[in-house]
Amino acid sequence: MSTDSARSAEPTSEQEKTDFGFTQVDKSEKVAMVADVFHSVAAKYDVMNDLMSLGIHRLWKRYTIDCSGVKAGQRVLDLAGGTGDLAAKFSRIVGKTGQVVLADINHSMLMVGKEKLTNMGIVGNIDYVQANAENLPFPDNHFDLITIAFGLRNVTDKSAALASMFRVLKPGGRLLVLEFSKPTSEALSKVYDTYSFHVLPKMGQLVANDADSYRYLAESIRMHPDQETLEQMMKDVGFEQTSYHNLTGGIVALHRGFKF
Amino acid sequence: MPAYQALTGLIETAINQALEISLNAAELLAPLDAKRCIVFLQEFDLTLAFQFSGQRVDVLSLPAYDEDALDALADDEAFISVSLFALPELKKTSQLTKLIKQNKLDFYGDLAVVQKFSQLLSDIEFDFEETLSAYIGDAGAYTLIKQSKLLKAHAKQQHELLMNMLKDAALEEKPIAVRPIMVANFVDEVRQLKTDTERLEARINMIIERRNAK
Repeated sequence: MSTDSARSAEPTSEQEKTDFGFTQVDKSEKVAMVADVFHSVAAKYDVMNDLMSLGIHRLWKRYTIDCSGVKAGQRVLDLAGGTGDLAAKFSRIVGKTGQVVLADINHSMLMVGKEKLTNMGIVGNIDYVQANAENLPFPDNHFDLITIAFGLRNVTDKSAALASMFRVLKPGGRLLVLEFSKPTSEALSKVYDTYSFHVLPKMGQLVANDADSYRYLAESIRMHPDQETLEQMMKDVGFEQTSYHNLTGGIVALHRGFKF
Repeated sequence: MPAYQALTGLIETAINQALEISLNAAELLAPLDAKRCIVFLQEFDLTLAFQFSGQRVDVLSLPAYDEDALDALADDEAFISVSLFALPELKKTSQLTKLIKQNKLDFYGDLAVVQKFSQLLSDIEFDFEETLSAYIGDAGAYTLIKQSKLLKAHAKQQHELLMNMLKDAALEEKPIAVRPIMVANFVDEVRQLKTDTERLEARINMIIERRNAK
């Protein structure tokens, strides 16, 4: 795991800095550092997700799918799709006449997802694309739905990523952003902090032999914009009828926006 | 915690587990491939979508369907609004039209989807012995299933016996109960007695008057 060395990296210019967890790093380095984190956790990603959230992440993802309004024949982009939890279901919903693109910047995650979905028999209407959310390699007005679940906080330039998503979305299409957010209650926030900073890294050390990556996870969640800020960012790049729905006391929020 | 998603997760897992151990799921699911049956449960104000794909069913919890959403139903979709109490009747394909006529079921979209869904619920068969044998061995599974069948047959026999007893009791004991004609006869007899008493009273009065006149 190279996050320790990465954290000590000295940024070259104030303007080129960005956050990597609680550390400020050079923008150009963040992509590689996040990539290192996910290369490290890819193999144990699903197990750790179940352990860390006590399986509740499956319900958050189900809620996202229920809110997608996706139908047979439509084109879906599952961005930062990781190990393909959402893509699997979308593939079955859009059917043979539709198309799902599972995109992730991280090759290891993409390969784990591809192997998992292929083993589940999900083939034919799904493509795997290694892509940076800030510069999506797709034509304008291409997708009916874009989802990004637990991925946006790892993106270096979130506004650029949202603008890129807006560009490739069809008029009438919708964006769903499922991401950790800010708990709505102070008491829950304290419990959540204790869990994130003390239990998570130990769990990561025990199961994935990697405490640093899970420390980064906790830090990156705290650095991610809160509900209102993210909604405003979506509006700023052109999304309309934006809204968000808090899940599990605001630990996670689902943001929704449309392109008209 | 998203409660509806927990519920649909449980339903979906149960359905897919059941389909896995079914003997004829493939045959019943084939005509439903790529179809969607949307069920609105009236008592819970809950809209569930059953999305069929190959040998799997995905269950989604959807927002309420308004007129626009119903108009936008695709060719391979069906929407039914049904009471929870009428759900068991959906298993009888032949009852669908009757349910619609009785206003127990509102229907939009492709009727064939509902019919095939109904057929899936009614015709599905399971091979419990094969499934159990993986956990407790062939002999154990055979014994357990045989005992279960014996128990089921015994329960059925007892049920039939009880029903026959109740039926006999109803038929045999019925004459003890007062029938309407007997009540009418009793009323007639009381009326007759009253008339006779009045006549007797009149005669006694006449005799007393005659005696006083002397």
